[in-house]
Amino acid sequence: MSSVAAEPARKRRAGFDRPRFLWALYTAICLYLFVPIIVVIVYSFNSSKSLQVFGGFSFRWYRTFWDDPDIKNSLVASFEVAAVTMVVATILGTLLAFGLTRARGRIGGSANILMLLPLITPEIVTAVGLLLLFGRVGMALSLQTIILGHITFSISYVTVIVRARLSLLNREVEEAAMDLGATELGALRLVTLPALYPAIAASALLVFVLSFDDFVTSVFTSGAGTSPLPVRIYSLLRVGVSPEINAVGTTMIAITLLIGLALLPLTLWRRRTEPPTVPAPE
Amino acid sequence: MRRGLWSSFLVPPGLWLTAFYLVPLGLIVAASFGSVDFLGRVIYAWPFAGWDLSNYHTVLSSAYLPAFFRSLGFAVLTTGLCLLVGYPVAYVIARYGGRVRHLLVVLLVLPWFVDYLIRIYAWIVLLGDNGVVNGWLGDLGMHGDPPVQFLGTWWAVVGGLFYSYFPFMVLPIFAAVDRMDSSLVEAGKDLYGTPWQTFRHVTFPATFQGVVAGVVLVFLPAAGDFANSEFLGSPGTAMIGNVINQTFNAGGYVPLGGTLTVCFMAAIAVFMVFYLRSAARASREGAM
Amino acid sequence: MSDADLTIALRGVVKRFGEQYAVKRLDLDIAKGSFFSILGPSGCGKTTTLRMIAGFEQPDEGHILLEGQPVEDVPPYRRNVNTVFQSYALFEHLSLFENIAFGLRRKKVEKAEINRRVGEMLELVRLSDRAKAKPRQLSGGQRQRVALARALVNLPAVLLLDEPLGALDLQLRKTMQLELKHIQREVGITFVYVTHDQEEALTMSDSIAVMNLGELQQVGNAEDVYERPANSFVAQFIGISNLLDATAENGGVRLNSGLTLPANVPAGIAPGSSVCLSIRPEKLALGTPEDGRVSVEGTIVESVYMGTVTHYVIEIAPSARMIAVSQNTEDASGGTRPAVGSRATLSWRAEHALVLAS
Repeated sequence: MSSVAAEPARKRRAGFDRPRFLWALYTAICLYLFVPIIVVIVYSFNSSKSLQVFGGFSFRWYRTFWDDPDIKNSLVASFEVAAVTMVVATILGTLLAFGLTRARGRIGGSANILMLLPLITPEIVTAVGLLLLFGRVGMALSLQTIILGHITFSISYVTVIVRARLSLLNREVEEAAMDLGATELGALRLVTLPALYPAIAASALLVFVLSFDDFVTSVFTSGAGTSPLPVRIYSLLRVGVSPEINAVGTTMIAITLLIGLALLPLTLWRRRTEPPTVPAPE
Repeated sequence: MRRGLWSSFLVPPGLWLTAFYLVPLGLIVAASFGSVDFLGRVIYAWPFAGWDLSNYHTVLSSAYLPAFFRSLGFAVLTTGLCLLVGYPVAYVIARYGGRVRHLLVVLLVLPWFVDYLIRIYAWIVLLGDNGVVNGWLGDLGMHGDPPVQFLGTWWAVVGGLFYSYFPFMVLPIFAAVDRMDSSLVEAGKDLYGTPWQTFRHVTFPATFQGVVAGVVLVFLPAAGDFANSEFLGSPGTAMIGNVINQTFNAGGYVPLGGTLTVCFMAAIAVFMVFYLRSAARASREGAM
Repeated sequence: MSDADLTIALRGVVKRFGEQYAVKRLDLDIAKGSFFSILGPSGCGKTTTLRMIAGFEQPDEGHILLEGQPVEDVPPYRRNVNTVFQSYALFEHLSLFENIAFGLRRKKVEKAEINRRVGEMLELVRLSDRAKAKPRQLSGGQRQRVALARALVNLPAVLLLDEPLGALDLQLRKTMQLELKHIQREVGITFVYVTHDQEEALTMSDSIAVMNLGELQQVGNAEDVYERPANSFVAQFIGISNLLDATAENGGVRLNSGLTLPANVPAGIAPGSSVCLSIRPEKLALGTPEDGRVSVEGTIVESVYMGTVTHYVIEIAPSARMIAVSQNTEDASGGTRPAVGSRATLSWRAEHALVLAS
């Protein structure tokens, strides 16, 4: 912002441009966004059942939650579904990213639209469709059908993230690898994919979180057996509010936070493998 | 270079999406024109049976229309609120956030990583009849019996929708403002004098694509939402998502559910097409 | 030259991109061990030609022969050719050592051999102490040397260089030009060097191929293309030349202004056809002409002092101006240089005036 340094007096005079008001707005919104979650976390440790009186610090709701086999199984199921979804969607999404960026011809345009559609289709529509599909082919609803559904909406997220990074890569680097003796696939493996690891990893983790937290698709495609945690919570909520849900919610928050923290080192790794925009001096 | 190689990469994901996204969409349309057999299994319209418009008559009659309008109304209100709050917030972070601006965005988006239902549940904890806020009001002696009804109202639903989808507005606008050359704004201030004029003629047009993306990314999921309405609202605030959910998961008439879904898609199709065209334009200009 | 002396031969090569012709019927012979430049303005097809030799593009028609063998269908990883890219295209996630070793590893060369050859290369480009560094820690000139080493270590039959010095500043570029020339002499590999900088091509090359709009204009050594340009494009692209539009006559040309000048008209040009008279500025002498020279009178309209030389712009006829270059061998403070506005006589030897087809 070099132009700012030259005209400090003018900046202070301009009326609307007083970020203080905007920063206040930002802080207010942040508070608004965090307070409900903090309340849930706090009350998960409440020894009393009430939401209005804080009786004392206690783990009782966590014990209830842990002793409930349904909920424990659901937690495990959520992990399984998310893990499988993460692997398959990342592979398919990366393939799609390469295909869209590199394939010549008009097929790229229609494939691009096909990729974008799931992102903007309301989840309820895709969920209804999947339900009908499984009914039509006679496939019973189960964790497998949930996984199929999750993969379907996750692919596009991977493609968008990986493609953004892929389009920035210098094609000549891949050509250089081939020039030096690597085949097309070898160049991919040795040169292009390493450069893409941050994007692939980031999108994989995003898919994990999306799948782990997913509600709508899961509710439509889950069967009678164990269902993922959000579906279990939905059933609990319909019965009525229970303090146990505070504990469940806090646990999920903790899990998601841990995964979010796992993202950080990967964003840092990206810096180390990028060519510098300003080269070192001679 | 083997051209076929890259095109072949498109095949596995293409097949997957066709099978699990396109075909289901087709089935929804086919079901909407169909009916059920005596076992309760769906008879699809083509090529198995004739086209039956009775479901459409049912839907377009007065019973279901209010739900459609309510969905669109809630979605519009939510999008407007998100835009009103989201644009200034995204703007201040992008232009004045300096080196920590990405962290500031992450902070804003962090709550979104909490499970969707838990986020809705959190508002029940806060605003429910036996919830935290009513408890405080009680302690302060500010109410009698019955407790203040925060939930069950339409603005509780809108508030919940806002809470669910706010990051989708902030992120694209942040990206657009961040990408904008700040010297444009300085030049605009020289040219246009008042801050409002600068905003209108310089800042807003430059960030328009981000606004479009944000609007579409909030409006579409909000329109199809049902959990917020189910838990924060009342039967009177039922959105089309609630109706569809009940039809499929509470033993309703499946073809009718198909019709409802098709009509819902038709109602929002305009926005989807708009977004796709602006995305195609953006990728041609290299913005994506 | 027999095919065995040629490392590369292009026969009738055509390349189209959609409707556009990038290269139209190119025939080129590149001798073994030479420093061969392809020179031309942007869009002339030189980079496309290079990429076809490397294998990144396939010609639509014609053949590319490497050491006598046609290679149009051979992928780049099987050609005995290596490329130095304009953007250097270094592998950012690998160290310098690994960058240079990359080609050798693909060929499954033994570890000890790899260490030896990479070590030699690092010494050749004077980067032995940075072997473990990553490319992002290097300056532009150093990255360029790594790109060169990475390609050379494989001892290919041909080294292709795509405007490798474009991103460097002037001083560094001059140094690297000499270094590249020296390395080429030492290693003895055929270099095919693409550039748009004619001075660079003249400095470094054994042979130069001048291209324009996808067509070969002329091939020859530096002297050939400078003193005997084949057409008006080459004449004005390489160095500065006076180009006067004229009509051919017997024994000379007639300028559009009506002025006739004697000149050697080549056999292939019929009287009456449009031609271009090309004379290099340094071949023009100012002042009283010596015997046997063609001379013409004009008015000095501009005089530009450039330190070692002075450029004079002389109008010999309406809309016919010529540039003459004269060395400032005398100290001009006494006003011995011709003044603007004065009359002057330009003269040249008849053989220095070239009649080129328009």
